[in-house]
Amino acid sequence: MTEDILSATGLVRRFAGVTAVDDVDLSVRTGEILGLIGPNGAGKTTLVNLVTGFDRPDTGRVFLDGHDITRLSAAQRSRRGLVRTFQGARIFGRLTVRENLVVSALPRLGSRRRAESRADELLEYGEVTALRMTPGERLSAGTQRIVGLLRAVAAQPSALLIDEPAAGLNEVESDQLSRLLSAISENMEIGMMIIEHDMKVIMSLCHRVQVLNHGRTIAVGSPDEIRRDPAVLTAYLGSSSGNAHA
Amino acid sequence: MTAVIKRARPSVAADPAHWSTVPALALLLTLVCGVVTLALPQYAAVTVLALVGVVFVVGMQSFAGNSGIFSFGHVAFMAIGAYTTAITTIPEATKKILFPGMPEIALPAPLALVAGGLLAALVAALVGIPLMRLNGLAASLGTFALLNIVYNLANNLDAITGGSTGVSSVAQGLSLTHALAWSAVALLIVWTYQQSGHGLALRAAREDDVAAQSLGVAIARERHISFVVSAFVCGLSGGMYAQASGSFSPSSFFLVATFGFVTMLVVGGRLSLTGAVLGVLSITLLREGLKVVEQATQYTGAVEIGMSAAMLLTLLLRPLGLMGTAELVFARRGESR
Repeated sequence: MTEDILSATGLVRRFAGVTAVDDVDLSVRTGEILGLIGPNGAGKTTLVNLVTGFDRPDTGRVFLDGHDITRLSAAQRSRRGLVRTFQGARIFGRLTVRENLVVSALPRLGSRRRAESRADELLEYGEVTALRMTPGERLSAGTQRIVGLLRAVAAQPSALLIDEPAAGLNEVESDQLSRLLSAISENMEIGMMIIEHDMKVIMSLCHRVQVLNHGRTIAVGSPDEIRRDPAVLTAYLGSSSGNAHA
Repeated sequence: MTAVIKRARPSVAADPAHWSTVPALALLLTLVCGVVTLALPQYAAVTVLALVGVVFVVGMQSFAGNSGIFSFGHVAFMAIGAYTTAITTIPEATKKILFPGMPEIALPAPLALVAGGLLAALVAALVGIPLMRLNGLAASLGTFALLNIVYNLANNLDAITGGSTGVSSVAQGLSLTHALAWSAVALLIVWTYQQSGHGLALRAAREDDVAAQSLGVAIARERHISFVVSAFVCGLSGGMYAQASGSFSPSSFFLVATFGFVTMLVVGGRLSLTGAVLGVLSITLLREGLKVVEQATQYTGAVEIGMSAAMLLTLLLRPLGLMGTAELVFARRGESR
């Protein structure tokens, strides 16, 4: 069994009486895509914030490549190889697409020139070279999501957390993004965790799926196992809401 | 080759970080100053002071523009530069009679300017440690507090600064050529910083601090670097001011100066180096025009009201100033699109 690139044990986060994340463990191996799903309010985004350093757990620890990173800031974690994307892409609006990627590549590569050539490679990889000099704010939502993903990859992460990549995208954009995600997973040495509501995306991309409900892990397994898990069906789909996402 | 204003447009194939911004701006300044000096010789002193303003506002832009934090305190760095130059260049005999408490250091004029810049940078490095941890308005107000501290030190450390009456008999003489040369130096320093990885990382943090952190940008550290660079340039401008005017007092570097420079940067466009330069030129033009009006109509206050109106109108109608994010560059016809 290979070593986990990213893991967390016993994470707990309480907000004024509500336990948003309640004793959650997780582990991601290099080359693996872990899907994190759960109904709204299940604690998914809080969990990502805890793992990436944008929030601190009340108890529990986070490890990157075997090192305890629980006390590091988000920026420090990023420089060590733990990078995330955001629901809204959060593109740097008045920087060009290329500059968006250069900013990300710089801390690891040091020199501006190397960061620029890395950025150019990735723009070509994502088939957005034509937009390299376009300010981020002029991109469509779908393209912003793709640039956001490429920007995260430009940091050369060993672990990448992706927060709702397909939310709000149309089917074409969503398929394009899924292809890019699986290409990145196959070609680069990265352990990925994806939070997503779109079950089609999760089921087609993920090697393993972890299900949260009310801040707790209720199931972990292959997509097929998760699809059949009665606890998941009850929690995630509800008894009456039907099968809208599946 | 023609000079054109380049805006970042979708699918524009040209690089907004074009090499030619500094030469283009230096050429623009040379032309404007040359024409004014030849056509209106009575404005020679105004022209030199406008170039002092260019150095200052360009220095302030390198912090405010890249960090997104407006500073109301950079005039303090100008004061530090001015006093450093005064103290190190007032002739020794004059110093003994007028300012017996001043340190007996003598430097040649260009070195005195650099010393002023370095001292301002050192102060910025120290006060920046706590100040650059603040965000947004809190940071702006912190710089305002710095202005007040330096103003009061200059007013009350009589032995070194001459107190509230100020300093006179500074070895005078900042020629137009020297002023132009220093402007080019300031533009080059600020442009080089802006194009560096540090400048880029800070602009990213300006656009979205959360995303910048997620990519490993140490925001407080990047702001601090920018603060020191801009303080150096503003310190230089203070030394130039001391040489150009020959005498000054603490109130030369307080609210009126701060308001004037902030107006220039707002009107020109805080996100653009070209905006900083155009802000100085346009507000100087406005100010001198209104002075003529004041003299003709005996109506005092027209200058201040006019400048305030210019700032208000800019904030209302064109919040990013005349230039927005565009820069002046040399480009072949067609290249800009």
